[in-house]
Amino acid sequence: MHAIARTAGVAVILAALFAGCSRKPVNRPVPRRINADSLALEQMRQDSIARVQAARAASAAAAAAAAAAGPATTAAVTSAERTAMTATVYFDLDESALAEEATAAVEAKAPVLLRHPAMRVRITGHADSQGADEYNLALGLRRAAEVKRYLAALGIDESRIEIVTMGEESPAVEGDTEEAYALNRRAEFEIIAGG
Amino acid sequence: MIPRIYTLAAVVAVAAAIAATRACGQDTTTTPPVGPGVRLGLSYPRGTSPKVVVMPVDPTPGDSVRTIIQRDLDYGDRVTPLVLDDLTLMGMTPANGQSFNYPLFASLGVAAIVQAKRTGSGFRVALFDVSAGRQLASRDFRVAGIPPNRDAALADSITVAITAREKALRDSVQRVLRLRADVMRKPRLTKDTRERRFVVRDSLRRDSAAAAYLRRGIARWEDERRDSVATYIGRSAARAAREDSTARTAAGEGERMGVHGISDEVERWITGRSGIAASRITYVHSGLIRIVDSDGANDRPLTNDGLSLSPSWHPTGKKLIYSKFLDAGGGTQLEEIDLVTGKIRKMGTGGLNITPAYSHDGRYIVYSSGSESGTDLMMVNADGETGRQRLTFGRGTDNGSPTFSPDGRQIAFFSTRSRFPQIYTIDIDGANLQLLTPFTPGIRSYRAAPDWSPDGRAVAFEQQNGDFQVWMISVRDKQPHRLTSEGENEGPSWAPDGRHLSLSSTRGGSKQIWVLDTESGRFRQLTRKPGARLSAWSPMVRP
Repeated sequence: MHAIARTAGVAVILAALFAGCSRKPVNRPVPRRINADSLALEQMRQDSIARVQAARAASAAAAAAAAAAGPATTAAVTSAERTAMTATVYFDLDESALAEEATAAVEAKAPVLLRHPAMRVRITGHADSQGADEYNLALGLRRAAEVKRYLAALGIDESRIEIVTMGEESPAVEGDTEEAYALNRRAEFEIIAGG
Repeated sequence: MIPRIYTLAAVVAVAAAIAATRACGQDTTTTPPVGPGVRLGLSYPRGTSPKVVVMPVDPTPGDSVRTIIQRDLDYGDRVTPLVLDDLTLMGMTPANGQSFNYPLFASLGVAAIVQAKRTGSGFRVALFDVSAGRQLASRDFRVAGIPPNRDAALADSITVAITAREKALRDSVQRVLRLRADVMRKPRLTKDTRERRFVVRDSLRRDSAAAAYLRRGIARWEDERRDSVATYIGRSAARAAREDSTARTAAGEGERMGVHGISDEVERWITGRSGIAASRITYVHSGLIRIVDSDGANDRPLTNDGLSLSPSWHPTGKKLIYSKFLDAGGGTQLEEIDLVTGKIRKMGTGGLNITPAYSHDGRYIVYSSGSESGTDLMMVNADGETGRQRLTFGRGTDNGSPTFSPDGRQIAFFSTRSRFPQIYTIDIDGANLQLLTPFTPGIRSYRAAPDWSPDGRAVAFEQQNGDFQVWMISVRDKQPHRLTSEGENEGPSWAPDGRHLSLSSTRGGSKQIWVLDTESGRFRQLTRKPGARLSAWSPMVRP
């Protein structure tokens, strides 16, 4: 049953990706010329995507570890906790609502904040490069605010969390591809005290 | 031989300067002042773009002033400058005191001729109606920072040279005369005839010696003068050439704007509507606020560090306001830059402060302030501190990019109150919220970056239907109208004529600022900076 559900989930994601493709402009870009530079560039892009995906996987693992770690403590922050706390949360196109995976990633942060009451974090909301630059600033803030709201709902004091936005001004991955867009729609976490 | 050529050149130059002065003195025709929107009666078929010839301003090929005026008229999209080669034009230039060969111009389909002549303080510009065969208008324009006329500069330097040498000549002649007087005083005349004869002979000899001395002195002076005049001419010609090339490639900002002012007035003479050449566009590139003349010249940064966005013009065109990112976690603050003094005023309030805009009278600033409970429009007095009040209550939604209606009574902005961003209007007290861009609920249609046209009739914005394109919507009947289709086009800003738009477009490959004529659909690239965006067109620059 579980496997079927997962397959269905993958199918949905694939469908969403293809749907995303079909929304492409009518004037398709000229096929990219392949040369050494474009290959190197593509390699760099793939590497950065791999890095972000690895970070994503690590955050999920850290979440599980952190959840198992137990009650509040004044002990030093472990590297697993740090990884869970600073793991990036991703959003869907033009959305600030937390999807399932993002919800899990945020939930993994709550225990860390609960165990380390002196810890303060800054959440920076980002948008992909599609759309109005000015609107994307507001969208980035809305994403950061959404994460903060959810953490507050999980029992974290709001005064320990500050939010800012970079809009589309600070992409994690350069480029105008669906993969790059997906990795740029994100909220980043920075421990600014107590860590 | 060479000195003689220089002398000849100098004489020609002086003669030309005198002729030019006389021509200006004779041309005393004045035209009664013309009100805005009044056409001077130039006859050309309605709805067409009349052909215009701009005559050379200086007797040099490819001169900059003519090029600027021709380009301005072309960019204005209302008249068609007929660009003729210099040889043809030379044949069409009337001799002094004669009128144009109108039938010749008419045979080329030319409706009007523009002739500009340099004066002491700028230009005298005249417009000639080809079909009527007469002058329609003439006006003197003061143009600041104009480089001196090449001929005038030559004549000046020759005068300086001659004055200095004349003094030297007078001195040396006086020296010779004093010497001669001394010589003549020495021999005493006696009654002895023989002796007198000797004395006379001797005095004649001395006389001729003195004369020879004088001749030698004058000859030496001639040589010196020739050399020094040659030096002066050479030096001043080099200076004139230097100033001329400066004028050609990057004439002083003031002069270029002055010439743009002439183009705009000529366009008004011909079509009844002033052009928009005397204006600037501000935009963002690499996080810096930049500014560029309407023809793409004088492109320069105004800020020198950090990341700034959303520059917006003060109604006087003398100040800009924009938002700037502070260091990590510091949010964004509004900053105002005075274009005259270059001074920057920071309006630090903390948090997210973006998309500022001045009210039509410059008394207020409306901007977006973001917090956990959403991003809302705020209004504050022009000082950026007092009288702050909230205009929208979005309850967690985003409201931003305000733009005033030209009567100052309404503000258009984007809001996500219906989930995806749409354009709404409110009165400036925050009341009377209305949806401007109709949409079908549930169907994704994203509209943002509104800009209200100077004539008040339309709002331009960007819309996503797959890719992003620029549209405009009539305020009265809410009829949307698509303006772009090639590449991605975003962030429109109206020119003062309510006809042209600046926008960012990827139609040329990289994202650049382009100018679109909304009536003909013609595009021209304004910037050469990949990644240029967030442009805003200034009000008219008045000298």
